[in-house]
Amino acid sequence: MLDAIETILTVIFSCLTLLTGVGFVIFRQPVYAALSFTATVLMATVLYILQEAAYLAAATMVIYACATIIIFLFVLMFAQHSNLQSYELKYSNLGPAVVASTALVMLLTYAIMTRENTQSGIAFLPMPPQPLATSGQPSAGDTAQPTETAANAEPAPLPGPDMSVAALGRVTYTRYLWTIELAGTLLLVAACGAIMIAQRETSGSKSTGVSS
Amino acid sequence: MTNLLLAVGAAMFGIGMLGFLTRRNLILMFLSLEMMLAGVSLNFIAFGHLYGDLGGQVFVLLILTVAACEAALALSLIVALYRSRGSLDINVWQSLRESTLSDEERSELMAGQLSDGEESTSYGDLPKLTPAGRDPMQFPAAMETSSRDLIHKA
Repeated sequence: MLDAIETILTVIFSCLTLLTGVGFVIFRQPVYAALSFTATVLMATVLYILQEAAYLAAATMVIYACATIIIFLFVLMFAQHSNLQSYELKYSNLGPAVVASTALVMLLTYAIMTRENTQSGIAFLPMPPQPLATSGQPSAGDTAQPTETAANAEPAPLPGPDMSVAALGRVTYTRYLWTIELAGTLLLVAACGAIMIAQRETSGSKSTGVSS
Repeated sequence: MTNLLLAVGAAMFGIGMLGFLTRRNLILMFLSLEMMLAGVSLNFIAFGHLYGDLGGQVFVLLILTVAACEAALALSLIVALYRSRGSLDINVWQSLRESTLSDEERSELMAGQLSDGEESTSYGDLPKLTPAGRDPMQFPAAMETSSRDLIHKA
């Protein structure tokens, strides 16, 4: 019963994600495009929740769909002319771009479908079921389990609590500590860089900015 | 179920790529990049859930961080570029591209490549980068003003 509900929700929100994503490409008006990007990210967030990534869903909602998009919209309002410009009315390279991206999506979808058909525990690097949270049984036999249907059929390799927020925090600050520290350093450097770029522009070329 | 999510992630990546290639508004091009990143994140989460590995979620956390950094830097750059030229059109900055070929040569080359398709595999036809130590801005008239402009601004 719960599985059925989860499946239905996943299908619905996948369709919504794709629909709003198509809207992102179709809308000419940049503000509408940005808003439908927000909608796409929010729908994908629901998919995160369905995949037991609750913390990431919240983080994505806050960081992406609120902070980043608000800043984007702010810059858009700051720099956007009231009516549509000529460069927004027509797409550039529409034919080759559509062909290329359609080919890419078809290729990826084909790869995903073949992955299901060919029992691709071999195709992808098989991971031990619980390598992180506890001591982790090595389980050489479990790696031979072929598809995700087998993983879904028996709930033992994917227990609920191990994908929880607490488990993510534990893993983040033990095993992936250096990754997180690196990400923090990257944020600091990027903030410094952004301030540098903005500051030099305001102090150095105020006169040219006014004259142009 | 995982397959559906992987396909949705691939489609989001394709949508982002399509937007990046077709849009000419700087801000929307960066939004398309973010869309591609969101598709990849969905893939990471689906695979992490499939294999019961939290490494995928940690990687998505890293992607979020990188996306935030990218947005900050890109937006400050966009504001700087907008102050310089007063437009969000990316074609305004076309003069920054490599310039060993003239416009006519370049359009001929592009037309030839598009019409020939896969037959023209001789790499001698491809545009060349500027040799090291030479001024890359070699366009006669338009480049004069714009390079002076840039130097003046710097």
